[in-house]
Amino acid sequence: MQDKDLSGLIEDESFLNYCLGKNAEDIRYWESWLKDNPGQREKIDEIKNLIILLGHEAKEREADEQYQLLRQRIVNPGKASEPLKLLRYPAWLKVAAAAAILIFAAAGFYFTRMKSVQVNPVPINLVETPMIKDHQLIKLADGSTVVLNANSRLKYPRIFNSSTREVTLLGEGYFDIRHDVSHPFIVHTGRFKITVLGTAFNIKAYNHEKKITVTVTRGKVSVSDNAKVLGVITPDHQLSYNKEDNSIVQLPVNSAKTIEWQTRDLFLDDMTMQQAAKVLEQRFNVKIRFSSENVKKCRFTGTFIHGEKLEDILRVICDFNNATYTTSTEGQVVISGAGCAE
Amino acid sequence: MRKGKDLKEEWNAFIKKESEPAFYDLYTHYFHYLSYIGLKKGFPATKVKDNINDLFLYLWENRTTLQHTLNHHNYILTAFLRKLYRKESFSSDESLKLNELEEFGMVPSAEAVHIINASSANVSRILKEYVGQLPQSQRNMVYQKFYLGLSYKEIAENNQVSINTVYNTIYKAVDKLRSLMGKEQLGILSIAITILTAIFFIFFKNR
Repeated sequence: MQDKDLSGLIEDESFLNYCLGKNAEDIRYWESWLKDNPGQREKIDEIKNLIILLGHEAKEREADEQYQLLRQRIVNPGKASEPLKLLRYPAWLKVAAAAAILIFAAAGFYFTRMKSVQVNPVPINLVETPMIKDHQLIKLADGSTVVLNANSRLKYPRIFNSSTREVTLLGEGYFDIRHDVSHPFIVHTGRFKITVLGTAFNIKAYNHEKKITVTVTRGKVSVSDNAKVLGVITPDHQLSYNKEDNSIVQLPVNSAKTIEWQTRDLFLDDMTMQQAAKVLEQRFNVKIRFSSENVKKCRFTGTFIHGEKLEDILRVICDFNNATYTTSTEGQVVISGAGCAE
Repeated sequence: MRKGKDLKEEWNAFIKKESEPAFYDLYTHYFHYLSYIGLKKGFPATKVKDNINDLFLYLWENRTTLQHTLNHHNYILTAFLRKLYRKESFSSDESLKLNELEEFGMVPSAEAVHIINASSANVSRILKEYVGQLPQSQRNMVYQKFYLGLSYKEIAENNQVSINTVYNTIYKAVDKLRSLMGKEQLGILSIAITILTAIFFIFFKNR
């Protein structure tokens, strides 16, 4: 059979269907064509790979870019859908704009070369929480958790795919980081960098406050700015940086007090009733029993951050899971219910 | 491959806990699904995108009132079609018909992840840099052709350009990436896909 060139293959919808695994008949046709033309296999595989990779990368970018536009609208509700309209200027304006961009690009290129500045690649798998109103638990891809305080936000990758795990914090957060020596965990806040391997610590870095404080409850934490290490903090110690006079103070603290803001939070995140009961037993020092097996398996998610009483929590999760609870005279809690159909 | 209906947990996390990661997952899933439907129905690409973002802005702003939505998939699909057709009363019957629409293959993307994992960091870097510098309109066409799998004719109509323009754009994208990858990376790629085909074969057989 004939030698296929790239241009002919790209024009051929049936070949593209084969590459994307779309149409059984086209797949069969090309499989058998490849059997008859084994010499072409390598080239065809190459092209198929390129097509799959291009589709994947374009898809990721496309969704991410549109999501960023959506986020801007969520954050600034006043400017609804303005950015998109920009694309519809008359043609002559586009030419003028293109010319202008070209001039700036050329200038930019020149200056970039002069200073040999490294341009950072645009991160595409970033998630940024909205400015949260209450406390929120964020689970990172590596199993680490962050509890964000009110008026804080965290920017983090959905997947950690480089040699370090890096996030950016604005406001206050309590970090509990999964130990991983080969992938240091770095929190950026303002011009500071907090580097850890696996520990628990609290960072308070609100824009409107003049101090940034880092407090460690477990493990060891290193704080640095662009130039140098400012300090290494150990448990029950706090490093505090004063933005006004640039002074740094390290002092012993009772770290339990610093993290008190979130210790009463209860995040029952995608748990079964049985798992939730374990958490509640520990927190409130009670015994919880189930009168039926089915209800143990009910799965749910709930957050209690206002220091709710055990009764309030039980009432909410029982209501939600079609169950009821009673308290026996010895103080034991018994949960019963028909279970959850899913 | 996950379908819209499988995203119930994400929907619940978004509605009940205002989880943004869950919202992001819902968005990225439905962005592709709704793009596919809108473009297949012949609507202009820009209009489809605008409508998707309008809809998700609405979902975000009204998340507390959506507590009682039982079938999030039908809700999202119907709301989208209503916006698209500017019809207040798009019956759920009409959207049910569309519901049957195959949730087009996302397998290529799963394959891509395997290829990237199995090959060198160079492959992924070259790919990201190249696609990153493509003008938006060209990247759009690459997306519609190589991910959504639309035909050249459909892409030409949705983007109001000639078929030849689409074809040239697509051809150049592959040709350029091929030359950027160079012989050595391409060799690694071929090995990656051979292994992959075996994996997918097993994967499908086991199901």
